[in-house]
Amino acid sequence: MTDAIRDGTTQGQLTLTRREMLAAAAAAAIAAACSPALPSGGGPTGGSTAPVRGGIARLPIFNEPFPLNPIISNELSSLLVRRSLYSYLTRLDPVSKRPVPDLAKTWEVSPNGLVWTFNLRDDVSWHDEMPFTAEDVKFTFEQILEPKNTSVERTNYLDMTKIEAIDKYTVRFTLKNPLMSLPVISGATVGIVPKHLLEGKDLRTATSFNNEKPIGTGPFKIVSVVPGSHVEMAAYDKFYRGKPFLDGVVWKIVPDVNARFAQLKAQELDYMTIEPSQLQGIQGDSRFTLTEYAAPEYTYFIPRHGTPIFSDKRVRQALVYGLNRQAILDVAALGKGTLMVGTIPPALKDWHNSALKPYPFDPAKAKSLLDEAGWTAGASGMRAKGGTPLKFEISVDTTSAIRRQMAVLAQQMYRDIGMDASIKEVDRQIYSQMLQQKTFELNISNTPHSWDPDTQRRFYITNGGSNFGAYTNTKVDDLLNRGVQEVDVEKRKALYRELQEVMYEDVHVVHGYHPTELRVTSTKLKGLPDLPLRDVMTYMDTWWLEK
Amino acid sequence: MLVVVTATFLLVHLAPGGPAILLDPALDPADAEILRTRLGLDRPLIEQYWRWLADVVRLDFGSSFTFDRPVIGLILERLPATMLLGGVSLLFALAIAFPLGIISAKYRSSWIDQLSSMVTLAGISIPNFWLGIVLILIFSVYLGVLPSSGMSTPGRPVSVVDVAQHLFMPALVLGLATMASIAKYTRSSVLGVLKQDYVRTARAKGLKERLVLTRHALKNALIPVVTVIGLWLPRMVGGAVVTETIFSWPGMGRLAISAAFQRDYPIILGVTLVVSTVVVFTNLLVDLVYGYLDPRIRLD
Repeated sequence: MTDAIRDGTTQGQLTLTRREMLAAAAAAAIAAACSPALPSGGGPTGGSTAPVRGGIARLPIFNEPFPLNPIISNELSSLLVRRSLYSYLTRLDPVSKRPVPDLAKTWEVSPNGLVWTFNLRDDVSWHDEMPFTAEDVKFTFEQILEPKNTSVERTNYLDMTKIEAIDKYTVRFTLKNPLMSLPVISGATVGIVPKHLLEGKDLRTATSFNNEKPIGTGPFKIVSVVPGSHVEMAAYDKFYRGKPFLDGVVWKIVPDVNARFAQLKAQELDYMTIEPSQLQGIQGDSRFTLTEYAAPEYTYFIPRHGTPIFSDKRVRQALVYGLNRQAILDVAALGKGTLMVGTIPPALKDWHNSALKPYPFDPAKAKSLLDEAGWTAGASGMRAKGGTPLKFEISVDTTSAIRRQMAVLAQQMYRDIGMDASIKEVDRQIYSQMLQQKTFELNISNTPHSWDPDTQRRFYITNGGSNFGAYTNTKVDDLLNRGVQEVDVEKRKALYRELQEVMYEDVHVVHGYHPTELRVTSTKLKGLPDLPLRDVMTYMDTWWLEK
Repeated sequence: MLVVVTATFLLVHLAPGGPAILLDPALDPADAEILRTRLGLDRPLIEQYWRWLADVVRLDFGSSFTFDRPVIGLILERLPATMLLGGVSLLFALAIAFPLGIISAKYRSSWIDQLSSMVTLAGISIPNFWLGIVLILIFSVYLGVLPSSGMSTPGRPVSVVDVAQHLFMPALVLGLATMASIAKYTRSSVLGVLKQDYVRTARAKGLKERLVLTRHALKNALIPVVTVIGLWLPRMVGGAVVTETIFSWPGMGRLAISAAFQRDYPIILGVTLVVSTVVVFTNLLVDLVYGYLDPRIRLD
């Protein structure tokens, strides 16, 4: 899930070439196309009037959304379309941020946390009007666990040993270890697919289903798919929560962030997640509503643990004390975010440890920690230990102007305390390869977080699949394992609070900030709950357009 | 052509990074290996190359890593949009460039020549991503008279008028640089021909200036211009990456650039093969046109 947002945020702001400067000027021209002083929206866009039926909402995606099969695709554009095409066992409650019923009416777990039983709705039909049953849920999870499908979701369910359709509308999962986050992660990731259309097929080559006519149980069904252009969906009359208010949805493929913004301004789009630098262009325009969310996401620096420099906790602490993160947030993201204090974002209210406070910017403390660790400053001001210079590379991918700017600012701040930091900008695939092969030194990353803290295990347990920094800490390993398997909610909370304290003190990553998601919608578009991009799309049956 | 595709094959496989589908951080390393095997990327490079070449001979360009679909289908889906955009922009460019170049040469150093120079200089110099955004601002955001992107309005039946409205701005952006380039070549070529002895002879015979231009000068002046047009023609197939991206035009350029970012080898190779084929045939066509325009070339 790391860096899964691939929306091609590109606006030149750094050391610019002539071409980049012109691109930035073009972006600025769009941003300046509007004027000042917006009553900065906030709050739900529900309005007070009663919903009306009709209209087609036009929404952007960033890439071709194929394959539209939830078992084999992890691409954001595909996910956004799939959110209203398929249904999930659960979905996220906008207020409590906890899972609430969707395809599952109720669920229960055995006292030992090893057996989960989901009772399903009996009034659900597929878009081809075939009935939905427990066999479809069983089939979906079996396909996720089938190694030849190489599903990105498989690692979430490796402890699942048995999946049974008890009766037509009851499904039971048996696990070898407790997985208390099952209702959350199944709601976030697993769109249920139709057994009657996919049974016996190789999912990766089921081209017709994956790319042309996927069938789901969601509020909107596919009408047409025009490669390179758009995906058209129509309301499904027999949707189990009632026919959606909108007649349909058009997903327009618009890879360029400036082109997306121009389309929004030309009222060819009704929804867009904008960049902080685009705020100026939206302010004062009464045709749009701006809503800001503290999304469960963070932008941070991953040190490669185990290297001579970063294996020393004092050096890692110096990396945090020496970084003026508020200045970075203000300059790179125009202040749209909050400083990161722990590994679990504040958006996960139940799990975040609010007792922790952000590390202060304290260059003197950073210098003293480095001195203490034996990295002393030479005549040039740069530090070394036993002839080894304190020198490292900050790697950053070129797709995000914000992260590129963070790299430049951090480089200067680290040089000020005697760390000889350089910057390595690489394209996305090289960046991903560096992460997987752990060939970076200090890496700037962005990670959306799930709504349950269990995700932490994969990122920070020793040898975890997504532990890119090769972090290892026996105390952390113990807490992560116990957190995932603890059945009692209050005890789980306590374990995760302790985990955050340990990781905070150990500086497992160099804290950055939690970006604020900036959603701009047409003022005519109503009925959207207060949820970030990925989750608000599961409520598209409640969206409506004012006449 | 074989050299081009072989070089491309080597470059894409040896470039740092790798297929995005294998580098998804959410993918378990063991599953990534299964996928690598399935895609045939675990085999020696030379074996991958021979297999790919053998398939290409049978017109099988393989399947896209990203879409799990045959590359030939992906290319054929996007080819009409790219050819429409490229063709219209080239026609637009030719329709303006020829008269502009000829008039500039005929009235050399006059105000009309200077104006033409300014227009062509601007056409060559203005980056198309900047011009595209400015046109969108003017025609879509402020005036609201033209759609800013796509090839047709989603949800409505496709009509000629609708497509023409969508086509106007991208064709203008793409055609402007082509027009400027061809106009400049036409001007200098016509100027060169007008100084030739046979033109002086034609004038001495008392032919009207219009006839001197059309019968004697223009055909010979076309030779370097045809070369330039020949260079632009492959774009009609290869697509214009920047213009297609700005205007969300569903063409080959976007397919190619997206494949490059995703390291989708089969698409990169398929597009390269198609474009290099067009380049070879365009060069052949240009050579044939040379012979028509100047029979001496045929004798050579």
